Amino acid sequence: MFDSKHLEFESLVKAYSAELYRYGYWLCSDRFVAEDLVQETFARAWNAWVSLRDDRAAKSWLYTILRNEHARLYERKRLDIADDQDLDALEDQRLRSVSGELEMRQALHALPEAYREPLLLQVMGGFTCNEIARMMSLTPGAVMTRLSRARLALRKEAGTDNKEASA
Amino acid sequence: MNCLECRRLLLASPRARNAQQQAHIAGCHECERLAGRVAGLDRQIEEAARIPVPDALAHRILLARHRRPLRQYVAAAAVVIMSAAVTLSLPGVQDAAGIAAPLQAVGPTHPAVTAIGFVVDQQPGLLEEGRAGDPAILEHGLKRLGLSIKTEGVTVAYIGRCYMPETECDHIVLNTPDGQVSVILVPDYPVDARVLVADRRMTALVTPAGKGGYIVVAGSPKVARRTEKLFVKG
Repeated sequence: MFDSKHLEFESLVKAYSAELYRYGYWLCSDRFVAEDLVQETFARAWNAWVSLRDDRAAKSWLYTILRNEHARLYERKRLDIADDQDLDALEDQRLRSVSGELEMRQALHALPEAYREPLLLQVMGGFTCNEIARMMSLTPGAVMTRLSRARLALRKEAGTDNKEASA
Repeated sequence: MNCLECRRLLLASPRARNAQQQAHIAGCHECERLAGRVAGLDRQIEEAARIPVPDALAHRILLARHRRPLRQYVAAAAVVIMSAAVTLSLPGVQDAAGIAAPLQAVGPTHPAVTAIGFVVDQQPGLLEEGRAGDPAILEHGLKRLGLSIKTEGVTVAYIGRCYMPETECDHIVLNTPDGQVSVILVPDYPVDARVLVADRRMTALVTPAGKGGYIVVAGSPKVARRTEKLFVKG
């Protein structure tokens, strides 16, 4: 029993360490801190791993641990950002030649965390709106609103609308 | 479903389309175009978010975990052969028959056990990535150990970095006449004696050199010894 849990845990580390690192990086914007976050996440996960009953929930469980660890690190229990936060400021900062990976990274960095986080959980982590809502202690409606606004802001950043209009 | 509802759902959750939405998109050119644009945007976001991950991250995470099951301690201690009677100076290495073999237990954090774990768990993924590595790393690592390598019949398949407890090392995979063999250079880890360790059906031969040593990880003691002989002083 213990052996199989141990092997499962190793598989878990191999399967999710990379994507957790990326998620951590987009939370803190620091590669070294991101690695520490992943290390700490798995250390905490291991302590509770043997008693975890539902292995299928492991992925969202790990993301939640990392998210909490990040919040603990910055002494923030939750993000208090209003849903109607104005994203126009982001548009004003945008680069004119926004196409390609680097520019999209800059746009992601510029996106307020309250919008970036659910977007990355969905695009990178593959979580549904309901799962993201549970992880972020929000309503599914609030998550959908943030996701829509994040995509609209990035569409403006990426100049998709302009390209479409001129085509 | 109307266009407004369809677009709201597309922007919030483009991958999760229900039958109603699918039917609407099939019959609405504007919503179909939006669906295509949002899918393209998500691809861009996904690519941009995929930042490079540090080498051997999973391996370091597993190393850092202090609590390990008893089974691993037993396995690591099971087949450890120490060459107490053999005090060797490179490049002279005795063959298998010449090595006295008193059994000695080592823990799971012994560099030989760690090296085997790294080769078994991490190396396949690293080789798949197909990064040849920088030959200067190998040259620098060997220089620090006061060694050079006999290159006849041998090519380098991979050069990279790996992590032993509390130290960073060079990880090399060689194509030899015996097949692929891994060598880990540990210039900063004090190696007192030549040790042969078997774990997880692999053999690690730890050899002192300079202020540290190097570890050959191979499928058998014979191949490990033959590979060890490729490294010579100077």
